[in-house]
Amino acid sequence: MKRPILIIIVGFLILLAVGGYFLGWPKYQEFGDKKLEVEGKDTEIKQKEEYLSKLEVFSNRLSEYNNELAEIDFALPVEPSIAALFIFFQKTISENGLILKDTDLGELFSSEIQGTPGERIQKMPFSISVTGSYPALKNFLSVVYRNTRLIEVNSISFPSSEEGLFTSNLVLETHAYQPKAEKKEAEIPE
Amino acid sequence: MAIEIAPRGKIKLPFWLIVLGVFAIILLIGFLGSYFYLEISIKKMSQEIQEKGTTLTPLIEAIEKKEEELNPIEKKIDDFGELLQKHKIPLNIFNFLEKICLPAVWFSDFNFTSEEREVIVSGHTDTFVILEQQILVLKQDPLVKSLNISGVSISEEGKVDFTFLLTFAPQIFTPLEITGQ
Repeated sequence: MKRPILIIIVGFLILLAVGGYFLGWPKYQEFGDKKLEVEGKDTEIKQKEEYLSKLEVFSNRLSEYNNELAEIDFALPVEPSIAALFIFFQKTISENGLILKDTDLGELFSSEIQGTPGERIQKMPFSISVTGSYPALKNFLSVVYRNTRLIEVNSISFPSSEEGLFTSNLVLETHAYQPKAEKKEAEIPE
Repeated sequence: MAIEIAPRGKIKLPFWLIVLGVFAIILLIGFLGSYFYLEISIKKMSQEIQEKGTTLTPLIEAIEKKEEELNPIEKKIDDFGELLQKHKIPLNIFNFLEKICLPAVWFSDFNFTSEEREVIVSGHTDTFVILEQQILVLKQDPLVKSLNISGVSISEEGKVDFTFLLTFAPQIFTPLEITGQ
């Protein structure tokens, strides 16, 4: 009588071990995975909340610099006004005792300037010729340098003059901005 | 004839077998308990994950919206900073030449290109000694990266004509280097 009961109990224990291995262990693993997933989500939420609050802080700080941002927008206009630029030069040249002899703004109107791909900052070169004295030219260059439009003087040339007045040729450059342009990856040849 | 049923004798199980049986039952209860506990916990956690997912969605949307608002500004500030760093002060070249020019030296024709930081300047002086001194002054200045002299000749008036090709160090364009203003 003892023997069949022993066989039943041992069989039952074996069945329990097999059931534990095939049912219990995967369940336990699933439980561990879910636990990790919950922890991961908690961390993710915490990180995202922290990041969002940082962005809010940046945004608030940025709003304190509205004037400076407006100056940047002025220096890098999306749609630059060539007429305004020309008026500025006319005014600055005459205010500094120079005479505007010649201008070449042709490249400012060229479609290539607006269409250069991959660069957010578009160069807009132009040239002018002015006549006047050396101190007047220096004053003019000083005003151009300090102008918020960030006008670059690419080259200056002037010949010698005994009378004190001379004509200077200046190649200048201003900029436009294309906010949506992104630098392209190098194209893979087919 | 009366049939007598023999009384059934009590089955006596050994103690160790009873312990083993009890142990097996405890194990079964433990296994079933754990299984259901895990099952319920998994369901709860799945629900929790779903809820956290719904919490996360508006958070991600808010971040994306904020990034869309801030990224172009950040890019523009960076681009402007880069541009500002490259912004050159051509006036410094004039101030520099005024500063280093010896009293008996006259500079005349002037050509400046900002990209190469190069200046080609012609001039004249009274003697070769003064020209030599002028060259020495230029060579000793740390802002002058290289100096090439060409076109040295004596003019009809007896003056010494020359042409300098000066290449400047990048510092020539930095605001701190403004001199003589």
